[in-house]
Amino acid sequence: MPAPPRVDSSVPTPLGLRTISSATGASRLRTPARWVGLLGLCLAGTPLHAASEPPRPTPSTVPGELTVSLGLARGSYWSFFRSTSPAYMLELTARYSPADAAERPWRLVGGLRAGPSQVGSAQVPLEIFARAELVAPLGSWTPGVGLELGGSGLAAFSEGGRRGAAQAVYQLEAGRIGPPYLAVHALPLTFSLGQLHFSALELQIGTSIWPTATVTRLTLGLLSVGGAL
Amino acid sequence: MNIGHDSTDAAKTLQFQMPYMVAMQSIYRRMFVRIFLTLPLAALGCGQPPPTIAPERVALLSALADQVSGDRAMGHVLSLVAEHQADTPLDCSQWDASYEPDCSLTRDRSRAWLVGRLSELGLEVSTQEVEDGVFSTSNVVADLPGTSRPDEIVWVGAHFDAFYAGADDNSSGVAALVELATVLSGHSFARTLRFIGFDLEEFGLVGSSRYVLAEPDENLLAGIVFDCIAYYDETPGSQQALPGLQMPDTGDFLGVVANDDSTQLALDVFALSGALQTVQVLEVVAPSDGAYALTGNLLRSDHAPFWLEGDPTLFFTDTANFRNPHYHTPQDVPDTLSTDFLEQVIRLSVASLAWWAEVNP
Repeated sequence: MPAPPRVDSSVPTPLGLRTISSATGASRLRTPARWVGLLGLCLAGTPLHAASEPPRPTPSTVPGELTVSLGLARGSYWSFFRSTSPAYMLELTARYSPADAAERPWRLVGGLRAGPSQVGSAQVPLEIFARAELVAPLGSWTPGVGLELGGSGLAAFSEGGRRGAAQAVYQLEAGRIGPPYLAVHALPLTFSLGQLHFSALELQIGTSIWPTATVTRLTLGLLSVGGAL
Repeated sequence: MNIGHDSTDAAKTLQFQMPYMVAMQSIYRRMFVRIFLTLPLAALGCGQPPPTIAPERVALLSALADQVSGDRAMGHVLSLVAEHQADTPLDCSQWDASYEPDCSLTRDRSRAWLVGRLSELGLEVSTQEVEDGVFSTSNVVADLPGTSRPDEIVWVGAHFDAFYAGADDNSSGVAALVELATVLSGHSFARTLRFIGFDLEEFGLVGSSRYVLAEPDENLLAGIVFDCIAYYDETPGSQQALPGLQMPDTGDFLGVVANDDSTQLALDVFALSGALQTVQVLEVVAPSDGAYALTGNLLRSDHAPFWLEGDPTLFFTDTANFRNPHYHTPQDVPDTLSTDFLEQVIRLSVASLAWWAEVNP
């Protein structure tokens, strides 16, 4: 088997990392640096050969757009014994979109949802979430689908129940309900009109992460309106 | 459940004449219902050992099962229905009784009847009381102590509260409990056999949840919960499928509901139903502990608290409202039930419990 090509350790790679040669002639990056390098590659999306080319303006150097929106959503939660009544929630989101949406069709979203206190027995009727979205920009129409990770204080079920007798089984249930959740989020009617951002009928279905799937959540984003900062 | 049977059994195992994978494929094709396509496959796990029961054990279990009397069990149903009809319902003005059957729930006389029958059999009967106003509960617990491993408990339970006459729901289950106690109390077992009557199941698994919370450290090796086990109908269209499941459309099988922890028990029951030619079983295995929002219909009886606590437990049922049109109505009366079906369910239960508790020859 031919030996792998040796790499001169004195030559820096495009990312400024150096390679070393092993005793067998195999070359590899130093371990910590390798992971940093790989992470950098993933995040920057920059080809290795790019650094050897003359610097030139690229779309990635153009700042993206940051949008802040306020919306109204309605959601319910189901456990294996009970469900909450559908409740309205206010949603505040910040959304980052790269400027070159055609080449980088994704958005990063973070936000908060606040529900009324009558959602089950919620002690903290809030959700905090982060979401990565893939976008299919078609002019001003920018539908997308995303994966949302969050923590919810809204998946708290009423203690009483109709008869008020089942406290013991609810006590057993409570040990299986936790805040972390994962959800798929669809945005079929999202529009960017200049500095303005509109979205309607966003649909989200998700589940508690741990214990897995003990709580299912369904949320409908009714309307969200925002503007670029 | 292969829970520490002696090496003689292991050396003389009956493999049911089928290679393991063929047996599993047969199970998948004919009897096991797939939940949401892939989950049950993961739940069953191809690493499970095949059911193995020594031939002489099969003969012994068969002889035990043959002691079951369907007529005697149906007599118990009639007695229990009479007790419910003579009882005074709970005062439903004390809660939001918007569900109409709430105002017909009775339990006191059926509990007294159950205590009486179990006591007559010489079992150690006790009650587990929880004071909570109108929702106070009193579970009935009767033990047949094991001869060599009394701390290891194999149990069977049924709720004794009922709406209206409650013939199928759940006098059939309580009658089966008493018939099991009648047959099994005439024998001895290595492990303790426990018979439990649960209170207030209809109001949210109240008695069984309180039982689990009060006895968290018990060594419960295997359990069966009966809830509605005597309604039978071979008419096409008589069986509705549980949401998300494919099921036969004839109500001529016993539903056996398991989770990961009780998969081996389900395999044992499946094997015994074939070996003893009892009743056709349809086994549903919920993944993990079964506590998923989408599997809520599989947690609708007293086995659920035991699942949540990790205790291996099976749920035996005729599927209640998915088959029985008289569910929670005044028409749930003994005339609508099948004595033969009830007898076969009890025969299968006798064999299963005796196998798990290790009947002494």
